[in-house]
Amino acid sequence: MSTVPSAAPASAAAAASATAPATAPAAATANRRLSLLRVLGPAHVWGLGVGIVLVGEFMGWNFSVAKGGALGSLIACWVVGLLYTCVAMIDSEVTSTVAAAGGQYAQSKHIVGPLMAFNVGLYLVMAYTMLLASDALVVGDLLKTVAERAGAPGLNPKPFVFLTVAVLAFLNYRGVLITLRLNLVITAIACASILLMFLATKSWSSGSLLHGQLISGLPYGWMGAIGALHFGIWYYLGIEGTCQSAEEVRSPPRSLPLGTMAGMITLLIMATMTWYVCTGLLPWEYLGTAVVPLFDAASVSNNAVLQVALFVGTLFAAIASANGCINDAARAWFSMGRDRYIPEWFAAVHPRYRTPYRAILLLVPIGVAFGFTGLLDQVVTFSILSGLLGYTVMPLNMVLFRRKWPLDSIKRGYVHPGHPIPAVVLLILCGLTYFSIYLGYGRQLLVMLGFYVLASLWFVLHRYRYVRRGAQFTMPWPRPQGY
Amino acid sequence: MNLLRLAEGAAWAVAIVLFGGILLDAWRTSRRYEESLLTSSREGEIEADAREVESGLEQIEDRLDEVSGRHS
Repeated sequence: MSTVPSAAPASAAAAASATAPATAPAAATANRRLSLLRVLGPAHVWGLGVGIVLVGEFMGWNFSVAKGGALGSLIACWVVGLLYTCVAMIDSEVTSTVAAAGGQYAQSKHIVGPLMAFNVGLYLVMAYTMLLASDALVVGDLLKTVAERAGAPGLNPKPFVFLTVAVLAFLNYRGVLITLRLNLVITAIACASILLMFLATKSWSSGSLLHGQLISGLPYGWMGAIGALHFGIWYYLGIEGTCQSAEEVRSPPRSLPLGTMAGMITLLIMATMTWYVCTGLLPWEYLGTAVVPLFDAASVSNNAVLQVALFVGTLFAAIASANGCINDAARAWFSMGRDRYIPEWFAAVHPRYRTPYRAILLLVPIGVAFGFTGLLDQVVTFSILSGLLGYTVMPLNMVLFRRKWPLDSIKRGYVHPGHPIPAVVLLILCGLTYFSIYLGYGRQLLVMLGFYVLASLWFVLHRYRYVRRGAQFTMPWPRPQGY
Repeated sequence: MNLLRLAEGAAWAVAIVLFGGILLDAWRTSRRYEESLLTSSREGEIEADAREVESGLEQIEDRLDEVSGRHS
């Protein structure tokens, strides 16, 4: 961290500006404020995106098996994979052009307008904060399970929930580079544990896995397969978080599309491998209710090394996800503060570590409070629904972006092929997934929509008067076509 | 059993120390620096400032060249 330039204290800054000649440079220096550091590369972006998601391969995805059987889960894996591929394509094009912290929030602000941006910002903050709470909960529960298996039942998971959030908040506070370096390493280890599982079970040889005996078509028909889409989201939830690092990557037009697309390809492979190994080792009736399916599959194989590797992988995946969630939720909150959509106090950057430190601090009590509830399914559903609302806005964003600023009007870092097909496919698949969620969690869906309607009313009737309306649009773009 | 309680106590203590540490640092930072300095720049503002500084320096250099030319 010694390479991080630190800002001068107020007195020193004042003295410097007092002695400087009263010319244009002095005026510019006096107005100059702190910004986030541009220190990240494509590997960090990959680590951030895959790190947030990978915990979903270790647990959660398997509830889709309970809804639609093993085949229904595979259909969900690939259909939702298509949904997220569309998300990654659209995000890559827009974020490589609107390279600002806040990601989809900044995109909506520039392309659609303030009310949409406020809602998208809120979806992002809620999705990542709830996911953070879930990950911390998972770490606590994992340690409790290990203590039980070691013959010491009765471990209280709450101090470990708090410890997880506090350690990761501390790291995030101290700098983005160290935070995402750690994420890259532990995400790679978690990925390696899935790969090890695939290799150790000799998945390629006939007879080692029992798909022929364990898979029994679609036990609940096509409605079951549609119902499985809800939990199919676990395979990929959070890959769009790569956009939050846009203001901190050295070369956004290169790093963001590369990191996001590489992350999406990694997840498609990991998700399919996870499904293949687990459904070949465990009966679908059990798999649909397992808490840690990959670890259980390792236990069935009677390989002690594999069990340890999968425990470490599960733990690291949960920690990487929590780490990425603090990073992303803080950037979204910070960028909303910068536009005064929430109090500007949250838009402060630490003069030494160059991180949005007040936004990071805020996440600790919220994450711990939701983590202490122990309601994993409710907290995760809130996260999934917030994420899905964000994806639903993307097709509109994309269509308006291409219409207002056609390809030759502004320089893009990446242009996704086949427009508007990804936008249309994304919209259709979002609709299908809402229906799937409505089948299982209809009340939560309606409650959450009500929450966002109330928040929107607060923004329009109260908060918008504090927003500097002209200053919020910062991209040096030409006037949009038709305006 | 005692080992479990010890682990729980250690987790509470480390978590409180870390969170307390960043809270304290945040409070000291907010006291030490002016709010206008801490509040982040807009996207692209630093780059615009750098361009402004560069053009200002060029003006100064041109002026110095002019003055030194007159004296010589």
